[in-house]
Amino acid sequence: MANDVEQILDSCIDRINRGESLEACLSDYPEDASELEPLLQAMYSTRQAYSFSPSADAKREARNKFMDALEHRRRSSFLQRFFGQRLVWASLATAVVLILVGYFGVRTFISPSEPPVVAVASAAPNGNFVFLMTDDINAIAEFSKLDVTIEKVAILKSGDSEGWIEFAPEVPQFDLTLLRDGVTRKLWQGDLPEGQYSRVRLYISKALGTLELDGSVVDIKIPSERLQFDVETSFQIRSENITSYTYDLTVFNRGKGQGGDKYYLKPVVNQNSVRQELRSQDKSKGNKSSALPDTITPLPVSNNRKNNL
Amino acid sequence: MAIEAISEQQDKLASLFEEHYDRIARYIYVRIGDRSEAEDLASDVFLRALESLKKYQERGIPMQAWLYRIAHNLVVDHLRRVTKYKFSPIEEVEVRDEADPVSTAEINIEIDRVKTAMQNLTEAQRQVVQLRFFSGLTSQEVGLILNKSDGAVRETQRAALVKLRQLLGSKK
Repeated sequence: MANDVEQILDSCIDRINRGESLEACLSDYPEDASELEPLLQAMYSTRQAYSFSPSADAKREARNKFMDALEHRRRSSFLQRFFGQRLVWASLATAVVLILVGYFGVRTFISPSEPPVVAVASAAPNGNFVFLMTDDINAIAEFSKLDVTIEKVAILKSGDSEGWIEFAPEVPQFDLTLLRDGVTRKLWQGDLPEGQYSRVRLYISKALGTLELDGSVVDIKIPSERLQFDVETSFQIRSENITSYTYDLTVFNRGKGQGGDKYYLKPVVNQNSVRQELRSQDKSKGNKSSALPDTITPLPVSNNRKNNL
Repeated sequence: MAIEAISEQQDKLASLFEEHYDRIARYIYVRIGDRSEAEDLASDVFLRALESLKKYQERGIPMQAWLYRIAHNLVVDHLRRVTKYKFSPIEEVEVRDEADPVSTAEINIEIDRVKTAMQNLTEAQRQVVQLRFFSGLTSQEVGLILNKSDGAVRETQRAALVKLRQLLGSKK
């Protein structure tokens, strides 16, 4: 094949890649059409055999991960720039700190990057904080049972005394399939220190689902592979209120993998909700009046998230 | 690299996500044959690129071409990990035209024929076919990824198509 025909073939492939038809290209080169056509047909057949487009869910998740990572890097760059401009002062300050550290015999001077765990909260029937779980629709209908086991929940208290407050759920395991259509399950109620809270972290130790289709049991993947989910939030806890935080967890189908469909768990960040109500002050009634029931089923037409703060 | 320059590169990388995520996932899928893994690895390509933006400056190739190099490396790592290094152990392709089983069977036979033909190409030919036909890159871009001239890419492409045509035609 002459070089010019090789060029024409290349240009036709470019045009087809841009969405033009094979015929349109061939009609522009009638003298080479007989040579080009079978080759371009071979290209078509090959493309058709491997046709694949990633799912919208997968792309959305990839985009979110990428944007999160980008945001994280930008924050770090900002700090770098901030301190970079004050390099001389920072060096001097470092030298002074090192001298002081050496002088006072302190062995380490490490600034923690992760806030510490400052308290472990205990359950209390009329506590000021209620942690609930619910499920958003997605692939949940493909399961007859989906048992999720939560090891602990941590909530980040912001402000001067920043730190994680942890608690182990009173109900560590629940079936996510029972939490559809806005049904919530209370996992814990207890007292947390008053203040502003900015993050909720869920530590999941296991998630096993039974498929509706054939009864097989599948291990549900957690994208981060850290078995923990952080959700940025903002709410305040006051002693006179009961603050109910509803964590929305959902299962997605990622399509066929080796050995069947793949599923993964994920929080639905924009569906997590906070509700506050006045706590009963009447201790003589055994504090029962404000304690929430274990399972809440919403009325069919109501939106249980209307009270989001 | 200056922080402003990194920020500019980050913006450029973000702008490439929408256009190239699907293409990269397709490129990976053709090589590993697992849709879900292809989606995950395509996601990893952008994360890896973000981590390595400083190194990118030194390479002097367009950013989209660099993304495919990262994809190629991730594919090689993946295949090494699963210790099944053979081209396209492609999973069963779902043909959704259930209303016409004869047509479905014919399509499946055609798919098998193409897969077998692809396995008979040289590695260089397969790479060109993957990048040109499935990722929609130009010969120039493919050349930058594979360290070849445009002319060499066009020649490999032509040879691959001649071979595919012979293999697909001879079984008809």
